[in-house]
Amino acid sequence: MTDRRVVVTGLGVVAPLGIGRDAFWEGLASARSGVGPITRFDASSFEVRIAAEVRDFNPKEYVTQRKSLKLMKDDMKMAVAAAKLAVEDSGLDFPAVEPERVGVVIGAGMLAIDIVELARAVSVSVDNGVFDTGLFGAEGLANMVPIWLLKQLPNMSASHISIAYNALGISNTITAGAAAGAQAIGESFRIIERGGADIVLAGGTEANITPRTLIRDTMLGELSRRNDDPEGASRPFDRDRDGRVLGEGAAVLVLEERGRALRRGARIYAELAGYGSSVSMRGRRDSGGGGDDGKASSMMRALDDARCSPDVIDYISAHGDGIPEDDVMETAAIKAVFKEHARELAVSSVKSMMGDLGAAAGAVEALATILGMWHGVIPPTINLDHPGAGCDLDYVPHDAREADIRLAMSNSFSRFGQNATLIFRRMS
Amino acid sequence: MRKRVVVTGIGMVTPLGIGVEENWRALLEGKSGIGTITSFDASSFPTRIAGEVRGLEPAHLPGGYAGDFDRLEKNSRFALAAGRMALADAGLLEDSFDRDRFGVYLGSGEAHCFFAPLFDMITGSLDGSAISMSKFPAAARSAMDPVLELEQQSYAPARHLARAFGARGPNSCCLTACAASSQALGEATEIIRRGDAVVMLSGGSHSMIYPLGLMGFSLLRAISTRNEEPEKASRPFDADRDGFVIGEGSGILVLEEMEHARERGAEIYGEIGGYGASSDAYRVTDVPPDGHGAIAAMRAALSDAVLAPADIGYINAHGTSTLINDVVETTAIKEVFGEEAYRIPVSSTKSMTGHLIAAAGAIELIACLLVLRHGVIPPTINQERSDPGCDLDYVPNAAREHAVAAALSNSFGFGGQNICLIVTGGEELR
Amino acid sequence: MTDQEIFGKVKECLIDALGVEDDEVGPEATLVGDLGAESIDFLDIIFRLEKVFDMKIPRGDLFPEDILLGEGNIEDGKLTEKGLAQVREKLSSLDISKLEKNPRVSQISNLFTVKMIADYMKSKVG
Repeated sequence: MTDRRVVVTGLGVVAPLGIGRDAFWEGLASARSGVGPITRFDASSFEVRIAAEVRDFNPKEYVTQRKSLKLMKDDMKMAVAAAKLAVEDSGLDFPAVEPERVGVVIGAGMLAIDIVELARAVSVSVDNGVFDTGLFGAEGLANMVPIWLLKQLPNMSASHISIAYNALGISNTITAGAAAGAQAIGESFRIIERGGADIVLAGGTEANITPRTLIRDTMLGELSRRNDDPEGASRPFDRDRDGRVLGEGAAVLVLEERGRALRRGARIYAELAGYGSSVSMRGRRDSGGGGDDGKASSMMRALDDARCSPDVIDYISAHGDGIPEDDVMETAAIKAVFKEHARELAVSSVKSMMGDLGAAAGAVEALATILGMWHGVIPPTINLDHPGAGCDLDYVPHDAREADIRLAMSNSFSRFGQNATLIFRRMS
Repeated sequence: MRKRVVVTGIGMVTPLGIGVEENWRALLEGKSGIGTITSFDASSFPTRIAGEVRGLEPAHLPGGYAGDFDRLEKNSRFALAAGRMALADAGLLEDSFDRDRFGVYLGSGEAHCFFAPLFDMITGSLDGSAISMSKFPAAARSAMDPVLELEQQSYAPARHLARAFGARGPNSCCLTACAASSQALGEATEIIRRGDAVVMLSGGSHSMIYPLGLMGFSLLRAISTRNEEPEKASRPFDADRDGFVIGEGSGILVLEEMEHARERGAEIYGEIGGYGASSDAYRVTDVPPDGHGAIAAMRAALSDAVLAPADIGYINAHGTSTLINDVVETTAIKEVFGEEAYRIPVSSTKSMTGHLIAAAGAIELIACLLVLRHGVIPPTINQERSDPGCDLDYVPNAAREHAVAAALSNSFGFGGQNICLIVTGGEELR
Repeated sequence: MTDQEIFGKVKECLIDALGVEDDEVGPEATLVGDLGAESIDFLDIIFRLEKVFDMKIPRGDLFPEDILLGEGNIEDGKLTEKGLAQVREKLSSLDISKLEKNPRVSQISNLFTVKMIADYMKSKVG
């Protein structure tokens, strides 16, 4: 329906396994775990004390407008850094690029209201041990930084990136939970396809390893409690898996109209060949569970969009978050879509190495998929010692594997049932 | 060839009322929906006024959801009520059509109508004026209902709509501040144009009327402090404006592929003719004085709709009632429309509804569609003293009869995202 | 508090609020022109000064934004005589001759210098 095709010409990532394309790939290929004890705050009194944190990240290296740092939460800093790395990787000469034709679409997490930032304001609003909204409106407010709200708005990552590159084209921020990063890339694909932009900086970001999120997800029974063995905690598809591990990070892809990329002789990592999205009616948050069709629809729609039959997919980067029922449902959905071929293709979950990056996951995992294709190596599912019941595919256990990947799929599913699937094709 | 997209159903929940009729009547009467905040004790805040939704009941929600009313955040309540109205209006509530080609795309924000647990968990873990991380887990566990916490996510309403009405197609939510629901409508239009769905429920739902929302805007000094005269507080383009007024609510539209709508004999409000998007890429909080982003978005929408500036008969302005926005928007309109700018009625319905933040654009696009249908333009109320920087025809204080064939709706988000939508009417659609 | 101590504290606030380097914050540096402040930063600077000096700065006292909002002070984006008179009164320590030549509203903030803040704080701390 359109002759405008979309290719990936730049990769930028800030993740628990490493910062930058090469460090990140080295972590994936060597089957490292990025999970460890939480250092962001003193989590020693928490039931869950492990997470996959980004280490050695110095935002000052990436945020050129120094004043902007005070307006940024960690997710924004990581997104700006990932964008910078992606732009540098793409070889685009930014002041020379036509700014009206450059867009920014980012999948973002929801505001991680920082209890620490509110503590002083709340402390002066307590009367007889009880919080008083009346006191808060007067005394509380006087103790808050005026710019507080600006750090809470999810669209600010995209805003800061637009400012950094004078990107005057479309800007959007998708907030669809764990599907956000993949939906942002999918939507960017559509924007270039329809002529709405020639270049889109597309990706996702989330940094939500916070006390409140940790307690909430622990209460929901979603998190692994394997505190004594952090590196073994994220074990998608394994018999002994006991939940997901919180991670953080960001990834940005430079998506570019193919003709434009070819004309400037850009290095093309892969073509973004298909995108599908759907919703699961019976997600994890609903009673009943199981037998869901939404995940399969997402994959089917992406295959239709890429105009390819299921048989030609060589590799699937699974959502695979390590929550017992999720892994079984995804496996069932893959089998429903791929039938016999499900046994032949390789499936792995890089969440085994870096945990669940939430709104960033879809983008970081897409980047991992593209790098796998580029290097001819499938990143493994680590900690998969004994496949669990209902998990009977080839999950590439323990070690990375050399493979010729022509077409690869990456799945992202949110806890509320929003799903997104991307398909990448290697350029010959 | 891209498909054409029409609007066949609308639903509104705003400070002016529940339902399209009530809203339209109030808009034409020039009524203000702004009053003193009642949903929590705001008496000590610098701003104590807002546009609150009144009278929403479980019976307004779709059948299966009425019993969950108290377990839903306002964003979801508003969206479910408005979504049900819109589908009923479109005649699609009971109709059987392909649910796999029925999607949802909303602009919505975080929700905190259940704000008490957050303050309780902080209070319970204070050690002096700081949080004690050893006290926090127990305090949080006793205060927190984790399922309600999840309901605060901005994408919860989109999911609830899908579930309530069996929309198994694409499902997404965007949050580009004050431009969010316009952007959602633009992207939902593109989904149908491309053929990935035949029906989309789209628009927005949002409330920031809770202590942290009010606090955030107060700290930035973005909102009006005209506490003694709430009904006069939202006064876009007037010389005595002093900031916007927070509103809440939801506007949901049924977007439908034109042939699909015609085949089933649906009544059509208008066509989504143009969608334009741009970024200011200027500063995080300041709007560029030359309005370059707004200009680019309006031009992009005109070009997408294949219309000339002179074809536009009405502009529903972003018109927030902040000092800067209203001047810069006026400048931008003049740049795009030239001499025509002075002949086109421009009004800001935010003068009556307040600013519904992520939901604002959807309400305002509905207002444009109703202008097309009824040939009457809602006014900008509270026009008492003119600002030399704002010299267009803002339809001051009283509605005006005026036949319109194409209308433009502007939405400019905090952070520099600009979205413009154009709707067109005309006999050929009927 | 000595003048030097006051200046040091003001400097510290500006370094934090504007992300600038120590050597950029000379007394004559303008907040907007030299140090890159935008509207939101003025609120932030006041907040930081209040914390560091442990005192309340009344709204409009340091950065007289209320001049901009006052009736009859502005016409066509320029300060009127009435507006200028108020600037003279509120910003008595400043050389406003430049502003008199070009009374555009956007010029007001260019008058705000590091020294002006230090002088204001000196008058308050005493």
